[in-house]
Amino acid sequence: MALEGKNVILREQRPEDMQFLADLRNDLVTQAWSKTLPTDYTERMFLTQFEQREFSYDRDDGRFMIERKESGESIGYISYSGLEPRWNVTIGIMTAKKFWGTGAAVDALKVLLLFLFEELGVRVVRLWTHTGNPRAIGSAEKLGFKLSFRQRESIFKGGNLYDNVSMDLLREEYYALHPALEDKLPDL
Amino acid sequence: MLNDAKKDATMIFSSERLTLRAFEPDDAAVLHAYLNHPVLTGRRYIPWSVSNELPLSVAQVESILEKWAGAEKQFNLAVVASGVEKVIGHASCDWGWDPHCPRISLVIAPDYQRQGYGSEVLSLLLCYLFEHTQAHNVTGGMNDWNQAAWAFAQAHGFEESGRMRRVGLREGEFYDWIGVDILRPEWQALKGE
Repeated sequence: MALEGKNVILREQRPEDMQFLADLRNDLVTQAWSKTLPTDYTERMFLTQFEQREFSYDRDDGRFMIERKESGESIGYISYSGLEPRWNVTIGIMTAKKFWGTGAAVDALKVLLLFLFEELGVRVVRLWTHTGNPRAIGSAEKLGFKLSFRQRESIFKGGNLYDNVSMDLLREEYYALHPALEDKLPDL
Repeated sequence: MLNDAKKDATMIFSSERLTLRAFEPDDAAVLHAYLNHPVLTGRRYIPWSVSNELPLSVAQVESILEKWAGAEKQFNLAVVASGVEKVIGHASCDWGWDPHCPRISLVIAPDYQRQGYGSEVLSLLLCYLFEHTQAHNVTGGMNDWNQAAWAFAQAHGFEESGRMRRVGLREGEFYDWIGVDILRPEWQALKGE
């Protein structure tokens, strides 16, 4: 079964995606952190990173391209990392500006959350953003995430100081929002 | 103590009763002893997937010392009590994400807790970070069941910055991680600057 949403598909990365990923990373607006600067990433850099990824049944991360279902166009990138099996995981997403406001990011996040709770059986999903990105905070809240933790004035971006923010979504909160799903993971 | 440290740069890592120095391989035995103390179960604050609860072997502790010695963008210092010249804890700082907001932790061996050593270590760390580095926000945290650490942080000017929910399970109950931080202007105000 593909990881498929209403209008998007999450699929594995391919060598031909690397230029798109470099372009996303090279846009001061779409990348979130000054840590990732400067905006001089190349297709070759991403290809090297891609090729260094080794086969394993014990991975703690997942990286997906978000693709528009009807056209096959690349919308962005979504991932999870730091998976502690059956416990928690952190997600991240980056989409091209032209798709902002289309609902594609929320659609992709819904697909990933379903995968994480129903297939990987995690109990908490976390994400990091900052207060200079109210769009990301709003999208996460729409999906049930709650703001849990912040580091005050710890992000410097675009000449401004922002709070680094962590949001989380508990398993029972997710299932309460999706009554059609039944949580069969045993309680602790 | 803070003023003394400011006067003499060679005293950045020393106070009247203790010194912070680099760990040496010979420290493995004392580190092994206090990390395995039942009181420190769940509050060792060692990264790299080192269990916070399970007993640690000497080999595991030696491995921690090796990692500390080779770690980049962080320091992990032994807390040595003056007079007895004994390692009584460790103080760590990690600025891997951004030197603007380093993360600190400190552990005092149970036999030496509640004697003011933790306060002296924290004062040295904050003085170093705010007066000798570009730190603006110094961050720390503790599990929510660790009320002693929470009270300690508050008493030294840290504010709660949120709670990361359900970071672990203890005695059958989920617990949260309390984040705390202190900004440079807040620290300066506490010092009366």
